[in-house]
Amino acid sequence: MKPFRAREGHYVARLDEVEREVVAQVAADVAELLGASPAQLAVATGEADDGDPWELALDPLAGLASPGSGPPEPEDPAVRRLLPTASEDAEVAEEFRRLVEPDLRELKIARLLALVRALHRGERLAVPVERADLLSGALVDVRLVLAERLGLDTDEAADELYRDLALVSYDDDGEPVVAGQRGPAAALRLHLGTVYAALTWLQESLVTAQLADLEAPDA
Amino acid sequence: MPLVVARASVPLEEVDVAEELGTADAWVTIVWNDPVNLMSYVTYVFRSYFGYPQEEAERLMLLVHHEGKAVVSTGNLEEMERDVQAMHSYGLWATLQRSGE
Repeated sequence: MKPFRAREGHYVARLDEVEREVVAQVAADVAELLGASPAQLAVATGEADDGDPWELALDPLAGLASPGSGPPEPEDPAVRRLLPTASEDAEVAEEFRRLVEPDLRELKIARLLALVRALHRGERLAVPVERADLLSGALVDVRLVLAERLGLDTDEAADELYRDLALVSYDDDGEPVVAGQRGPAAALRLHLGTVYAALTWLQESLVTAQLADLEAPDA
Repeated sequence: MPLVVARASVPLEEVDVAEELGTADAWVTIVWNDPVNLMSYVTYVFRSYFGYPQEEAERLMLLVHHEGKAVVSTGNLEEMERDVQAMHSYGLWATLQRSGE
């Protein structure tokens, strides 16, 4: 994995085949959590076309508020973090879910699937500078879901994950030992934790490039 | 003197809006701390969305980080709904509430 760098109007990173598959899978999973249809997921993972994957085709009708009450607060805490309750004022929160949530949900799904499509292009993961917020937003959403699954609800828990990842060892059968634990739960923590750490690193490189461009937009 | 001239040239409907200024800033957008979003990213969002200069964006980011939350904008209900929508689209945890609550 190579970090994002500014290149001719784009931010470009490089991921090898395994990295691309893993990231595309978790991005598609998050899109599915948000309600992406099987057809949408199939298109994203299907034949690559020549268009810019970051040119989102948002349905102008999708954001139309349904009459009556808004959708309920999502049950899955990870989805609730991506589409948080907007106010302690129940009336305001309900109106926000009704009027705003459909648009937000559609945007989040669309940019996650754009990431999946972009990853299928090959080792060069590129986004035009003016659309880079779509990529960084997708990376944040994936990391938020991974963090919820990993129980990273405090800064200390996040630090602990990094400590665990640094101290991973393997037993005589080649099974990982994470924080003294082995078995499926430990292997899952290692897998999700490794993806989380890699995406965090990738995101840091992207935002560093974006901040540099805010300082010197013509550079 | 320039102030008087400026005021005299304000169209009538804008004067009405101005008279309502007492209620216009009745709402605030609050961004809450989370362990996932990078400090650099939060600073970037405050700069690029709100247009805050680096120093102010960093001050607000540190406030979120250390105090757990910060008021990042004020305005009427519709404006704050728009800001909260933007913060959610960036993946930040934000809420709106009446000012002073």
